[in-house]
Amino acid sequence: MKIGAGGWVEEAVKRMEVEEEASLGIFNGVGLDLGKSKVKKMIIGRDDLNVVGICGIGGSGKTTLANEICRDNQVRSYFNNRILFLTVSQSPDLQQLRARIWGFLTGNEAMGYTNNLFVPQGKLQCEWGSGPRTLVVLDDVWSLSALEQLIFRIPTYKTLVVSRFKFPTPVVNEVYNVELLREDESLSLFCHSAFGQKWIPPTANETLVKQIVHECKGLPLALKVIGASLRDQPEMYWASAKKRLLRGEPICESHENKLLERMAISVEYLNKKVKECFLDLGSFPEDKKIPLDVLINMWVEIHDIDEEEAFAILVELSDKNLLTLVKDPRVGDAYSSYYEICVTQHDVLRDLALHLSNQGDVNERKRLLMPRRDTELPREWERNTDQPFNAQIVSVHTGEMREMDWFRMEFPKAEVLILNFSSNEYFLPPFIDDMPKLRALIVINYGTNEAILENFSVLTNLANLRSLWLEKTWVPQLTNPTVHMKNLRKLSMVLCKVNNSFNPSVIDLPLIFPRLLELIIDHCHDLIKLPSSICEVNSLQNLSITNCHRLCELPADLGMLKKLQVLRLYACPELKMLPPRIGELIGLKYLDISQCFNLRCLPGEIVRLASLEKIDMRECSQIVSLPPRTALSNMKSLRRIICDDEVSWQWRYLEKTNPNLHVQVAEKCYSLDWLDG
Amino acid sequence: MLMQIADLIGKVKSIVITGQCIGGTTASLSALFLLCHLLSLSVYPPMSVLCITFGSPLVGNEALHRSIRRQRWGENFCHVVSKHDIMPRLLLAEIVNHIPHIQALLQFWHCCMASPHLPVAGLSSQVSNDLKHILFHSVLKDLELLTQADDPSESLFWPFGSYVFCCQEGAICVENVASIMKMMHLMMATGSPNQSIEDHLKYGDYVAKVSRQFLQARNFEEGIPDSSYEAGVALALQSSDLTDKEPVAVMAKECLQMAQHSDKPNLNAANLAIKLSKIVPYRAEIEWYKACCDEADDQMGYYDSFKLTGASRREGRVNINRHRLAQFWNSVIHMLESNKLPHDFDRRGKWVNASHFYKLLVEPLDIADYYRTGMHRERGHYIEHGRERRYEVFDKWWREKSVPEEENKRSKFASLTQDSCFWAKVEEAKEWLDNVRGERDAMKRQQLWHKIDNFEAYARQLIYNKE
Repeated sequence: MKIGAGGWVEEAVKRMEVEEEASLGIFNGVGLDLGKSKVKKMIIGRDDLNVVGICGIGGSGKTTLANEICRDNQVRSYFNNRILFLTVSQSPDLQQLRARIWGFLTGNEAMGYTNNLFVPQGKLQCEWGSGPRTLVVLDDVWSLSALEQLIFRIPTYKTLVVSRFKFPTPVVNEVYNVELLREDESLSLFCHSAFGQKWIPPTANETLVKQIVHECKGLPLALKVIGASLRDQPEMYWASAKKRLLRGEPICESHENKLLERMAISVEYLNKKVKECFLDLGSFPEDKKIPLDVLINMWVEIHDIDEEEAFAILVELSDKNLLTLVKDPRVGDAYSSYYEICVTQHDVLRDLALHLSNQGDVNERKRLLMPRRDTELPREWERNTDQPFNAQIVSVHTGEMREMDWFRMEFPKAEVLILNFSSNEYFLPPFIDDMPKLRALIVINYGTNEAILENFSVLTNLANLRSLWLEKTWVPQLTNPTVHMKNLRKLSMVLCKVNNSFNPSVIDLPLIFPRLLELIIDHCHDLIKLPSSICEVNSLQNLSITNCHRLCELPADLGMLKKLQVLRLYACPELKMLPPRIGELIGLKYLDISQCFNLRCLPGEIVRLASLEKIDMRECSQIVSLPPRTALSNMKSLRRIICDDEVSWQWRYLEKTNPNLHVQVAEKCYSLDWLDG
Repeated sequence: MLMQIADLIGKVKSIVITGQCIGGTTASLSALFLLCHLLSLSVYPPMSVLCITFGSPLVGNEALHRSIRRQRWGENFCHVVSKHDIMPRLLLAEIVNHIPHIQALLQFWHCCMASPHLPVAGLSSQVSNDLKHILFHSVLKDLELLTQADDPSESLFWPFGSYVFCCQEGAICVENVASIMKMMHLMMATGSPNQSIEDHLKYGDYVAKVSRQFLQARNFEEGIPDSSYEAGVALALQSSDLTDKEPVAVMAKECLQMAQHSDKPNLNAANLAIKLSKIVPYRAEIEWYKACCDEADDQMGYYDSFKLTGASRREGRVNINRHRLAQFWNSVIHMLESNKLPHDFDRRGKWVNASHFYKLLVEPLDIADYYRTGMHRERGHYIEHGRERRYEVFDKWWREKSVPEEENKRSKFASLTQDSCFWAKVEEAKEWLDNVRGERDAMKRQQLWHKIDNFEAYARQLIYNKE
């Protein structure tokens, strides 16, 4: 008997885990009912699907679900008990697996293990018509190449692929994404493993139990492992376990081994750069949406990659279920903005990232992170201030901070500083002075009101600061010469109060930001008029003024920005017209004016934008007519128009003269993702 | 005339009023008078009024045009204009300097008509050449200016009702103002000064010809058009006798296309229903927002949440939806008022209910936004100074709803306050209360207390009605 490179030990371990995981579901049908019916529908109900998948993060009960499917009476009678369950694992012996499947298919199971010779080589495309209905479950698949070799394209033969990853649709036709448990389901599962019953016993501390359950975030494996490790332990131990969980640390050895190590397998599978990027995710607070723009910015600055590569990494992480992209039809479009799109990450994965990056000496860590919000900086940091910290990324998460709350620290290598807080006032840390290499500063306030930032002048000495993100703060007065950011390339102000700093009469933007490439003003509801000096920031390539509901006019001299390539003005409902001089933006490639409900018309001068490639004008319902057709045909580089049905016919005339042009009528998109903040 | 009409009511089904030249204007005015009169009498069965004018000068300005459209009386007027006739076009030009010429011309026409046995052709030679040329060219020039300015509102006089342009080849009927003006210009441009005067006398011939041509078949010269729509345009173009001259033909074609594009009430209503279905989910999003606020721990309700929360993406989204819906409903009202929708549109249950629900849900947010941005300090309180017109229109629709009131009173309303201005009243009451605290003058205090008492009674009433 041939044994694959993975070795039989691992196989055996795997099998045990499968059995272990399977036991999760036996008593707890609740969490599985929905998934079961959906997967059954794919397997039994749809003859057109040959290969279907179950996908989800580690420990979310995929294998349990697959087992339940195999045990289901309806499925068993449909396939007449011809069901084969195979665990593929990370290093499978493909020859042997193929032989087993082949043997099962042909009915020669006995010879399956030895007679590899009879298995047809290459991709299995079988000519013979229909055999008896057969189901093969491939559990724990880790790579596409392995999967491709194991799929036999025979009608009446179905494959169910269970994996942490999403595979492309040509290979796996349809996928069910495993959903996490609801609060009540989580509680009963946890109680089952911790107390041997489905509810909280009267002797136990109910709030403590609920807090711990909450920390598991509905992940079945976490519930089970943590529950089991707390079984029969005194209450004090429970309390300390809760604290450790809150800090993202493992409770005990079994927790570390069973949960974190197991989750870590997914991460070990990544290449080095992607793995580093994954670990960076630990620097953001739990349960918050991370703006995609911040993430990509950070990766660009510290990993020396460009935006496209950063986005590719993001997609890879999302495909491997290590983070979740909040759905948005715009994701991945050329020129689309990143800052409105968010990613989220399951808490257990974040804990994993923290666990992996918090190993080693504090001063030597590459990432210096505060795992949870705290009123002060960790004492561990304070104890080691006598030596410089070598961290590249520093992340702080606190409440209100005053000058006295900070202590001096030295960060000779820090390149990214993330300041998370929730309060109405915030004193910027004085140690920013000692971050000579700081390239990106991210200030995010999670409070309900805009925070006042103090000590803003500390930023003046940062020669390398290239990117600044301010969220939910008052933008400090930018009066020269106190503030002078000569290397700043990208300035983002989101949900900010900008009016007192962007006072049109006072501010001289080109002097403060001589090299600014990108300016983003998003959700700033007090912005009514842009300062006209913005037109003199000659370096500007990318200007986004979006979701500013009270913005009513743009400076007339906007045409002076000769280097401008991207202009986004979406969701500014009060904006009534575009300045005619917009026609002088000769370098402009992308114009987004979607959701400007009150925009009356496209100015006729727009036809002079010879390098314009893409226009997004969804829901500009007042614009009913375009500039004359003959003039529009001068816009030779136009490639794509996104618009509503009502005006699309006018653009379609252009399609005849310009074969490269593609007019796309936008689908409306509705969602409720925005409801929870 | 009133007496005559009183006699006729109940006896006849329709009245036709007609007139030529100046008589045409009299006919138009009489018909208008009659229509107004009938409206006030509300006669049953309704009597139809048709006014046909021949070569009548224009009557009334843009305002008259609009009010006739709103009353849907456009179909009651049919103005016949011959191809080159100068008379209906006169008032579109600056004529202050030419009044003596015109008087001479009118006199000439009058004489001609008094002696109908004279042959029309050659008559114009009796009018002095100067007069003809001056009038013809000044009218033509001004007409050209008018049609080139895209906006017809520059003209003092506006056409209303439908216009029938007739010529040797047939007749076309146009209703769109811009098209009417354009056709007037194009047809006149093909003529000469003599024709422009003679044509005024040829209405008899034209009418006779048109009624004969009614059944005449036409062929397409340049192959069969792509669609029935284009075929219609091509046929109309042939009828207008403008096909032979290249630049004019192209312009005429565009003009006719424009005329055909507009005014299909039922189609518009159907399209609008599709749009409504696309916009309703956004309203549902606001409903979810409301539900979310109602469930929140702080018990703020969606009015306060929206008013008091600082910058946030959630409120931002709600605000965008608010703008989106406002835009949609404004456009509905605009379409209705410019007669692009069927006349019973505002009685249709679908629209009345949809607009009512929209009002109940979203108007509180408008009020919140009004007070949030401090507009009440600039402009005064919402109900008098800030309320958007659409809400008043919707109030009217709701009141005039043709469905009989349900007998059994509802025990519970769909969790919305049934008076959408409730919050505006609350804001006002709040201000009164603040004023009472600061007010020293006993008289004024008394007044304020009185107002507050009224508000209290109003609120009690709401609670009592379970609204």
